[in-house]
Amino acid sequence: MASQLKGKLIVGEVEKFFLTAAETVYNARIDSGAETSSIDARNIVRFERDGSNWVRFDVPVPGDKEPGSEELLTLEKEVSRRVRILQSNVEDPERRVVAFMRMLIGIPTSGTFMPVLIAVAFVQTTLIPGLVAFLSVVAICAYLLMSAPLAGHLTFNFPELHLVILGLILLMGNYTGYKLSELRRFTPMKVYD
Amino acid sequence: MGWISPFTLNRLGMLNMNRRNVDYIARYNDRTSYPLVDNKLKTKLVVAEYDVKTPRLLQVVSQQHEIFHFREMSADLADFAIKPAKGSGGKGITVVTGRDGDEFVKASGARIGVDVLERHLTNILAGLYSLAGASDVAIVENLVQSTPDLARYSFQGVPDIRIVVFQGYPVMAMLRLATRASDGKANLHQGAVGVGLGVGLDIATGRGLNAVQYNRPVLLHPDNGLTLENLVIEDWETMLIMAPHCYEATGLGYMGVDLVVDAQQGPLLLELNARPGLAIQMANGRGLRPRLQKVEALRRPHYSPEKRVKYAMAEFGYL
Repeated sequence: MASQLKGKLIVGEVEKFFLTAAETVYNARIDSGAETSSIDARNIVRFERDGSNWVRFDVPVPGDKEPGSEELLTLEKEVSRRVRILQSNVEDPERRVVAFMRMLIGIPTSGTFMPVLIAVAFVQTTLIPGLVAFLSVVAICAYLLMSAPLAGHLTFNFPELHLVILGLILLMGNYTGYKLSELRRFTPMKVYD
Repeated sequence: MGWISPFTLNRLGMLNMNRRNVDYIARYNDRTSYPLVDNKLKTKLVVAEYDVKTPRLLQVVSQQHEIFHFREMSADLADFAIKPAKGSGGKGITVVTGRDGDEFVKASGARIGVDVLERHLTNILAGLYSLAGASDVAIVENLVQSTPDLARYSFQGVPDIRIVVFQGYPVMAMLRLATRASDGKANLHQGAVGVGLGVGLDIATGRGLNAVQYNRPVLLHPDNGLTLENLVIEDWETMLIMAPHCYEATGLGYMGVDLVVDAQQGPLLLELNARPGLAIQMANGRGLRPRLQKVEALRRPHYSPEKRVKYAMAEFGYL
């Protein structure tokens, strides 16, 4: 049994999951027979954007509030396909749309989703904003370092020092000695000395 | 867990990862030869030209439509192994050890139908187990039946022998035994026992020198209590000669050769590794560097694999 479960996640009937688009944790009832997941979406409006079908809808933000009076969050997603749902107790088929939304499940959260939030924020950053954020962080660090008087004195008066740094980097890449972690890893070899 | 001084390690001649990568793998292993060892099917075909035996190939499935033939082929097979050609770390290997009517019995004892195996083949072709998910080829092989005198040392699983070959000289060897802790797998990280094997002259039979589990010396197998020291491997010289033949076949200067001993066919090559690990030094209680340097310092390397093995047996017993 244990070997069959290796690497797999055990999912209960009700699980918490993190909807990345809304950056919110929801409770979900797990239906092993369903191919797609459904979400409580209200005020669904379909519209067209750049020649493809989109849908705008509100999802409730979970809280202590009574159903119907929760805060709503508006999301927009591209429609991947449309489906008709036939239910045994209803005559007319219900029309629904299917959209791709990313969600996370089965992460040990210890009560908070903060690290996940940050990670997801990075994953969802597109190229240009990502570059801008990265460059500004690097620029700030470089600025702080360069504004040290000694660094300024050395780099501006002796620019050839940069070549020394380059040399050091090349040298570091060629280091074939023991790594610090190996001094730990090979400790049992002591007995053979 | 303490620390060991770098000077002690140096004195013991321990090869470390940076030096292995820069001074040995990068220098002696030609990148164009890597596909030969990273693909089990290619390895099989290339070593066959050098008279190195591998488990008998029953079927190669390289296209989805060929999976239909698997059903006919496997109809009257009792045991076999399905492997992805580019799999690593034993992933995607399914071992069938017997039949129960139309069903196949896996090594774990689970019974599965032919449709499960066909789906497994599809998964292999799609690249589920290959590096970077590249599309792959599935190979169906004869199952290796370990010789009883070696199998009794292992908790389930087939014990395998790793020989590190440097420029065609076998420099160090170890036997890997599965344990309960390693879940029947011969992987040292997972708790398998590594037994260092003497390459030296006094032991034409390949005798156990030293044994470790989780990198710590052990005297007995943790599950069956057998003494690991003085364990003797038959056909040892044949195996030592097989290893340099693999060097001739692939041209890889620094590699790991994994062998198993089959009850009927004798020693067989299981796979080759272009980046062999460093744990073999712990299993032997000795460093690799003195031996590697000795081979590097040879002014006239020996031409034939047999002579190289003779040299290794004469020289590496004391290092």
